[in-house]
Amino acid sequence: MRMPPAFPKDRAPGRYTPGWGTGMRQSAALAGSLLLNLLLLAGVVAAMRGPDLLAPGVRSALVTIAITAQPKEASSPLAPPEPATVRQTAAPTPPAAEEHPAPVLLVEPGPAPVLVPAAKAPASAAEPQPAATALPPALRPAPLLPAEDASARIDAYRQQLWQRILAARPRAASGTGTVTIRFRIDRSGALVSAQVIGPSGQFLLDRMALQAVRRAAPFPAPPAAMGEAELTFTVPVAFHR
Amino acid sequence: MYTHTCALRAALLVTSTLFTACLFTSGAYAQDTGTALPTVDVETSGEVTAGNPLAATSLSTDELKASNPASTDTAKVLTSVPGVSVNSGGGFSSMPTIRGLSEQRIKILVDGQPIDAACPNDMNSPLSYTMPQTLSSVSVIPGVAPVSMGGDNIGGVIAVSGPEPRFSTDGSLLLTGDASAFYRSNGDGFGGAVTLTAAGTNLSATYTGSYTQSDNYKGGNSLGTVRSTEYAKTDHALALAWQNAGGLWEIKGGYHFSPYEGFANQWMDMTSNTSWFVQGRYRGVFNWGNVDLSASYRDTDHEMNFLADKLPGDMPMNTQVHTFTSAAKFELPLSKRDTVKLGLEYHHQWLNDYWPPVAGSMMMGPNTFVNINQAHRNRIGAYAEWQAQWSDTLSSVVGVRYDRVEMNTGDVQPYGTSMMQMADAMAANAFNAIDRNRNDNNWNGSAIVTWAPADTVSIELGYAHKTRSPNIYERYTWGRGSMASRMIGWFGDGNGYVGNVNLKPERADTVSATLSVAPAPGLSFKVSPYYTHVDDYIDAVYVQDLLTPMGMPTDFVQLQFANLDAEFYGVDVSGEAVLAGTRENGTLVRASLAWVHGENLTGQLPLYHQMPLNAKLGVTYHAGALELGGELEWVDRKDRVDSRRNEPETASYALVNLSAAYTLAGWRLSVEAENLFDKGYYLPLGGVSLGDYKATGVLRPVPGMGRSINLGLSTKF
Ligand SMILES: [Cu+2]
Repeated sequence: MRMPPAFPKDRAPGRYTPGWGTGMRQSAALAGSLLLNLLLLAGVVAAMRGPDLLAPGVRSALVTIAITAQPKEASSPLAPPEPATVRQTAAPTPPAAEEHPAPVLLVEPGPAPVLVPAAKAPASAAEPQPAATALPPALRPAPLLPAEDASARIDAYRQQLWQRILAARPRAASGTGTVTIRFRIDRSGALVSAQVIGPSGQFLLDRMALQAVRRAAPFPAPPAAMGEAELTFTVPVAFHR
Repeated sequence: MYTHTCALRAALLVTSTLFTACLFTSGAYAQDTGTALPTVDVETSGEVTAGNPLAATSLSTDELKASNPASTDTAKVLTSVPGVSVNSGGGFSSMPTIRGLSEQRIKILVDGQPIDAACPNDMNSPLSYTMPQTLSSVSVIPGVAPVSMGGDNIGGVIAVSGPEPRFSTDGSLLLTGDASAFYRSNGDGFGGAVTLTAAGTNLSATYTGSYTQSDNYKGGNSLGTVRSTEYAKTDHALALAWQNAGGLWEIKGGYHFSPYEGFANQWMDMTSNTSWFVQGRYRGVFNWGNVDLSASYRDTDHEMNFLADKLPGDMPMNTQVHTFTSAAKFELPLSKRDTVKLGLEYHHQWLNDYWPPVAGSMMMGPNTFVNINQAHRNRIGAYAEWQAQWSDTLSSVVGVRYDRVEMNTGDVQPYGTSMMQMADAMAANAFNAIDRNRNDNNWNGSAIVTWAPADTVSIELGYAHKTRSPNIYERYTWGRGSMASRMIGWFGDGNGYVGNVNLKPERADTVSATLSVAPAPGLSFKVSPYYTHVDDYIDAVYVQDLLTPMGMPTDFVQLQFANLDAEFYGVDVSGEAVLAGTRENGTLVRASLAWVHGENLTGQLPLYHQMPLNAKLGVTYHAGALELGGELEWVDRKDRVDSRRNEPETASYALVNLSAAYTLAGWRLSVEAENLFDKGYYLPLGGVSLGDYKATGVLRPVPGMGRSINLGLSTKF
C-alpha cells in the first residue's frame, strides 16, 4: 500500500548512514527507556516495601490501629468520666501550649468551644444544654468546675489539633471530593497512625489529605484528662473549587 | 507562621458551624472511629498558591461539556480564554495561538505527553487527537509558565487531559460515565462521545471514544460553501489504573483514525491519519515527596493527497513519525514554606516524509521525492524549581531548565533530474553535501511572584527566558521548486517555504503582570499586560516570486525560514459579574477583551497572523434545569498584515450566538444558534482559501462559518 522511499542504486550514501545516525538514535532511545524502566522498577519496589519508605513508625502503626480500635471500644464503657476528672485535678496547672490557643479560639466566631466528646456525655448530662449554649467565650478562661475545665481544655486541644491540620492542608489539587482520615496520637502528641477511612475515589486527593495530617504532626501533648480512647480522631478534608 | 486571611477565616466560619454539627453526630460515631474533627476545607482555586499562577486559566469539565456541546475542535474551545485565538486548519485541527505565539512555540500536552507534528503542514496538531467532550481538564498557561511545566517552548503551555482514574469509595463496583451526541446544521456535522468507567476500590478502567464527521460548511450571507472543510475522525482510548498504598499505576492505550480532513487553506488535504499510542505512568505520594514517572510511545502514519474539491490531480505524500517520551518528576517538600521540584525528561522523535512518484507525471516522477529521510530530534531536559509559600498571601516560583536538542537527518532526493525538476535536483545535491547534524543547548528560566495585598486584590509579576529549537521541517526541508516548496508550511498562505539548516533556536524574554480584583462577591476582574522580545524568532525571508510552469506570475511567493528579531505586547482583560442569584443559579455577565501587537523588528513589519483587537460579551441565565445564554463576539479589522506573504486584510465583524438548554431526568438537551444573523465574514487567522482558489481561480481569505443551528443531547450516569 504505502511506498517506501526508493533510492536510485547509483546514489552514494551520505553522512547519515544507518550505522552511525540510527545507532545514536537507538542508543539514546534505549538509554531513555532504560532510565525510565529503572525508575519504574524503583517505584514498584517502593510500593512493595511501602512501610520502609514512609516515616518511621507511621506505616507499622497502620496495622496497630486496627488492633487498638478494638480494645478502645471495649475500654470506653469500662472507663467512664471519673478517671478523667481525677487526672485533671491531679494536674491542675495546664501546659502553656494549651493556654495559648484559647485566646485564638475566642476571636473565632461560632460555637466551636462547646464541642463535648462522647465519652463525656454522662458528665455533661448532669449540666446539660443550658450550660453548653450559655457558655460565653469570655468566661472560658475563668475558673470553672473541674469537669467543665477539663472538657473545655480538651475542646481547646481538639481545636488546636484541627488548626494545625488546617495549616498543613494541601495548597492545590485537581478535582473535588471529600476524604476522611483517621489518625491516632500518643501521649506526647506524636502521630501513631493515620489512614484513609473515607476515600474520595481519587488517588491524589486521598494521598494529599493523608499527607496533610502527617505534615501537621507532631502535635502538642494532649491534656492528661483525655482518655486513651479519645486519642483517635477522624477529620474530613474537603476539596472544592 | 500563617496569618489569618480571608480564605482561612471563611474556612473557619464554615467549619465552626460544622463543629456544632459534629456535636450531634459524634456520639455513636466516636465509639469506633475516634473523635470527629470538623472538616478541613481546601480551596483548589482562587488562593495564592505557589505553582498555581494567576495567569493560568483552567476550564472545568462542566464548562467544557456544557458550553460547547457541538464543538469538535478543542483548540476552538480554548478561544474562550482571553488572549487565545486559533489559526485555522481543518475542522478539528486548528492551531491555538497564545498572545501572538503559535505552533510549536506553545507546548501542548495531552495527558501529560507531547505529540509531535507528523506533517509538513501541521495537519495533525496535538489537539486534533482530542475531542472536547471527552476531556476533563484544560489549562492554558501563557509565556511565563513555570519551567516544570515543559521546555522547548516560548509561548506557554496548554495541558489537556482525559478523566483522572476514579475508584469506588464503598467497595461496590463503580459504574459511571457520560455520553453525548450533537448535530450541526451547517455542514451537516454530527458526532458523539462516550466515557465509561468501571472501577473497584483499587482497580479502575476507563474507556473514552468518539466519532465525528462533517461536510463542507457554508460561509455567512452570500459567501457560499467553503471548499475543503469536510472531515471525519474517530478516537478511542482505554485507560487502566491500579492504586494501593504504594502509589497509582496507570496504563493507557489509544487509537485515532481520520479517513479524510479537508484543509481550506492548504494545497493538500489529509486523506488518512492513523495514530496509536501506549503510555504508562506511576505516581506516588510519600512523606519525602511526590513522584511522577511516565513513558509513552506513539506511532503516526499520515497521508495527504487531494479530496474531491481539489481534483483533478494526484500527489501522494506520506509521513511517518515515532515518538518516545519519558519523564521522571519529583516534588520534594523541604519545609512548610518550601517545595523543590526536580525533573528529567527525554523525548525522541523520528520522522520520515516521502512523496511517491505519480505514474505518467512529468513533474512527479520517476523517483520518490524524499522530503525528510529518517530525521530525528532528540531532546533531553532537566529542571529544578523552587516554590515558596511565604504566607497565605505571598508565594513565589523560581526555576531553571536546560534542554539539549540533537537533530540530524539523512540524504534526500528529488522526483527526478529532468530540466523541469532542476531547482529541486540542485537543492538536493546541495543539501546532501552539507553536515546536517545540529545540537542546541537551551537554557530557560522563570520567576513568578504572587501577592495578595488585600482580600480583594491579587497581583502577579512574572519573568521568563524561554528557548525553543527549530522543528524538523524548519531545519530540514530543502525543495526549491515551486511545487515542492508550496507543500511546506503551516501558515495557510499558499506560499512556498524552504527549510534552513542553519536556523538557531529562538529565545524569548517575557515580562507579564496579572492584576486580579474581586471588589464584591460575584464580581471579579482580571487584567494581564505582557511584553515579549524574541531573539532569533523563526520567521521567513523572501526568496522569489513563484511562477507557473509556463513562467506566468502567480499570487504566491517563495520564502525561506530565517531568524529575525520580534516583539509582542498587549493586554488581556476579563471580568464577570453575578447580576442576580448565584453563579450556578442566576444571571451572570462575562466580558473579555484581548489586544496583541506583534512586530518584526528586523524588517520593521507587522508579524504574520496577529489577531486584531477582539472582545466578547456574554450573558447566561440559569434557573434550575433551564439554561439560557447569549453572546456577542466582536473582532476588529485586520489591517496590520505581513506584506511579504501577501497576507490579506480582513474586515471587522460582530457575531451573535444564542443558546438554550434544559435538563430533564438526567438528560441535557441543548439548542444553539451560532452566528444567528448569518453574518458573512473572513477569519483574520484563517489564511487564504486555496480549496476555493483551485476550483474558481479567485483567491479570497477563508470565510468563517455562517449560521448554524446546533442540537446537543448529553447524559451522565
Ligand atoms: Cu499533512
